[in-house]
Amino acid sequence: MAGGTITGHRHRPRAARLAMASAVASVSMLAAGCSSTAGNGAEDGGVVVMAASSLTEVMETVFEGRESVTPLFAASSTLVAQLAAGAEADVLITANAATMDRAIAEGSVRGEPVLIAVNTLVLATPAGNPGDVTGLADLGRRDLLVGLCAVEVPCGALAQQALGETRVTASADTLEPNVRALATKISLGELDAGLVYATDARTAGLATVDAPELNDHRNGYYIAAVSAEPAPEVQAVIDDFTGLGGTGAKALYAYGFGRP
Amino acid sequence: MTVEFDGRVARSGWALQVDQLAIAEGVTAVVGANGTGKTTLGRAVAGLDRLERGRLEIAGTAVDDPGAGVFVPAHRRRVGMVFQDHRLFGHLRVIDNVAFGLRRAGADRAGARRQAVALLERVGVDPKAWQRRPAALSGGQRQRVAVARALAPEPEVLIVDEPLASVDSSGRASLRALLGESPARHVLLITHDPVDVATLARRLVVLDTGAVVSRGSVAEVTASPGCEWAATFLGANVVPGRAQGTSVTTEGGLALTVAEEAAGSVYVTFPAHAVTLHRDRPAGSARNAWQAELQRVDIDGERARVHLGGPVQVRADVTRRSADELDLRPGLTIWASLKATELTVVT
Amino acid sequence: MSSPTRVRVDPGTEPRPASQLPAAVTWVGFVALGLLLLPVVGLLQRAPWSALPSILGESEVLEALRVSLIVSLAATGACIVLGLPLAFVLARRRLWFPRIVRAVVMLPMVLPPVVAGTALLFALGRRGLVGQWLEEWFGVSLPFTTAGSVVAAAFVALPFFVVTVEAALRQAGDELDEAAATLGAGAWATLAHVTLPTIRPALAAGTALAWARALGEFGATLTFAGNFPGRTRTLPLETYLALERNPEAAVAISLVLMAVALAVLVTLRDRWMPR
Repeated sequence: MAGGTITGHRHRPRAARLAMASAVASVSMLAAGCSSTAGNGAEDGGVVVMAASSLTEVMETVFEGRESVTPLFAASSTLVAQLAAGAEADVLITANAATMDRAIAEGSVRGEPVLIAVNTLVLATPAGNPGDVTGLADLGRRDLLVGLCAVEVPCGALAQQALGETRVTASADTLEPNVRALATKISLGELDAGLVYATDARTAGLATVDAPELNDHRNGYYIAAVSAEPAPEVQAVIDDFTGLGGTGAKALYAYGFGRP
Repeated sequence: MTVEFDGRVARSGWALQVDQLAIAEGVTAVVGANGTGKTTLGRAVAGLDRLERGRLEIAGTAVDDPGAGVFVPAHRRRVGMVFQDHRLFGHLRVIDNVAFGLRRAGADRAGARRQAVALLERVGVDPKAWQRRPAALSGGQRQRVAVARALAPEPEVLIVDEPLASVDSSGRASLRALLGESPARHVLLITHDPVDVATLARRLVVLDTGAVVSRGSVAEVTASPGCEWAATFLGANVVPGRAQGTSVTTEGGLALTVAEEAAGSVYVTFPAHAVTLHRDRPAGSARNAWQAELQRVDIDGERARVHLGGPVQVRADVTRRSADELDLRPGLTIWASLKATELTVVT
Repeated sequence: MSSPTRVRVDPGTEPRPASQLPAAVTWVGFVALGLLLLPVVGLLQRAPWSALPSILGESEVLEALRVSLIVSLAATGACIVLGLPLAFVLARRRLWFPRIVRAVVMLPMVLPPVVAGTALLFALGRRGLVGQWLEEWFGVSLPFTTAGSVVAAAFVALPFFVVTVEAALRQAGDELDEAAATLGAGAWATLAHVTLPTIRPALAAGTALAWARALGEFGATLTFAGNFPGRTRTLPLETYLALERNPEAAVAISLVLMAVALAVLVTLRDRWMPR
């Protein structure tokens, strides 16, 4: 299926973070919406973790070598829709509260959600900042190619909120439905500036420009068991992220996520 | 004005080699077995196949001379072609197929159509078919349209590939007449049909395995056909006559019984080896027997070709041994016979 | 038509030749048909019929429709202008590695569109192989422009046109071209008066297929040209975003796209495709 990548691979070479290769991989997540999942790990004793696509690298680090855990990645809203449609999974991690709330409202998730990390928006530019971006106000410059997330997805909603409060009118050239794709386009130099999550800027190797106005705008990452009474191995995976000393939590901070 | 051909045309796996062939005005029949290069010869003259080396001239102008870097493309040669498979334009009405060449030569639509109508009348295409597409026509009607289309731009040279292969018998005579009076100065008739040769051709070119093995007037080539196939082909007798039922009366008054019914003016053809010679009146099944005057005997290896006069001019091939046994000499009166099943009636 | 010997045959009652088809083949065939039909039914069953006019009348939808029409028609035009010569080259020219060349032509058909879009960025993007020179010499930058959407859509739609036309050219052969040449028609006249009219059904079919593909194009457009209302946001992009915001609207727009595609294909089948 065309680009239908809810990536479920457990082992991925580190070298994959090379700009070109990861460009293909992460841009291909755009089409995640047209794929479906088959979470069947629970039956054979494995644990299926559905996680927001911004957590891809973190999850792969955490679960590397753990055959019993299968991570699946897509946009949070897509994951919630898939759960509602009957996809089997044991753990859900969303990139904001709204999507987790929806999963709970729909009855797909019965466990108690826990905030495990926050992600901040940053003003990102390609390495070397070729457009000489100096601050948030530069997003209004017409001579620059500026990208934002579409307001339909969490990072876009956050950006809209932040820009609204600071009264900056961005002259956006594209409203990307996927933050990874936006980061990739910035890293390729196709865009001069954009608002992405700190973690994505870090993963894509982007330069960031100080924009203190953005500090108050953050998304919370929530984890919850799908079942009200999760199996011990499922609970163990969750605890790994909720406990401050867990490998999951450590990995989150290592990748640039903020502490809750 | 002549067409002069001296060169080689390469095809995949074989080549046509033509040495200093001069094609004079009038109808020249190109004969030979299948796959000997007849069509290739025509295509090279038309400019559809290029010479590998050598030179081709039409009316004193080189149209293909790879050595000198000369190649006049087909559309500038004024060489028309009637293809064996017709190749009519399926998207055009019959009338516009015929008008096609005139339009390319600059005629306006109305003028081209007027000329097309005149040609269609001449070749005998049913007026009801003029506004139809070629697919709606019979094979014979399509062939006529193809002839009309090729004649329309008044080519200097007309190449006709197996002209009567798909024409029903009723149309052959008129088409033949049309080709005979073709306005093109040269007609190159690629054919398998002895009647075409007998009725239309003034000169012959015989091809065998990619080379010209005989050329010249019909009489010259018949005397020296150059290959076995041509000897048999040209040995074929073509006798005009009038048919009624299964009987055909020749111009000399001889009644021949034939296997298939026909009516009107026809040709009866039969190979030279189908004629049997007897000292005395033959008995038995051969009902077509007549007394003939032996005019000449040509000995060619083990074969003797006997030329007979009398009520009908006929060639008979017998073995040299039986010629000796029958003691055949010019002036002798002898019985000739033919089986009805050996006769083909062509209208 | 009034001739008494002519019997009007109702196509429905036309006698069919006795079938030699094994029953299992028939059954699996119908299962496959069901597989193709089911998503359509799914969409229809969720369609917000009563809200349809208001959803489709929304300014964003109308704007996306306008962009979609401009982009798909321009892309189709590009497919014809570029694809026709390419089809001729493939059908009539002797190529060095014909299989490889043909595979390259078909590549956009099998390439995930997102990868196609990424590849376009690498080639024609502002920092791309060719794109950097376009920018430097002509000041032209394709990504994030309507022209970029057209390029992306043309890229994925081109093979549909080329493959259709090339097949027709092969089938037509060069016999009619030769006949035209002996009638005094030069290369251009032959092209205009013989070759193109002969393959007209395939030209129509190829054009319609390319247009339908361009109209539905999503991945390559989004990746290469981005998404901005009134500029690069086509109906499929609008659908994708609507899915996040208002699934009903997504269904409504999908219905429009589906209806358009069906209309094109049904017309094609009736008018131009060999039966």
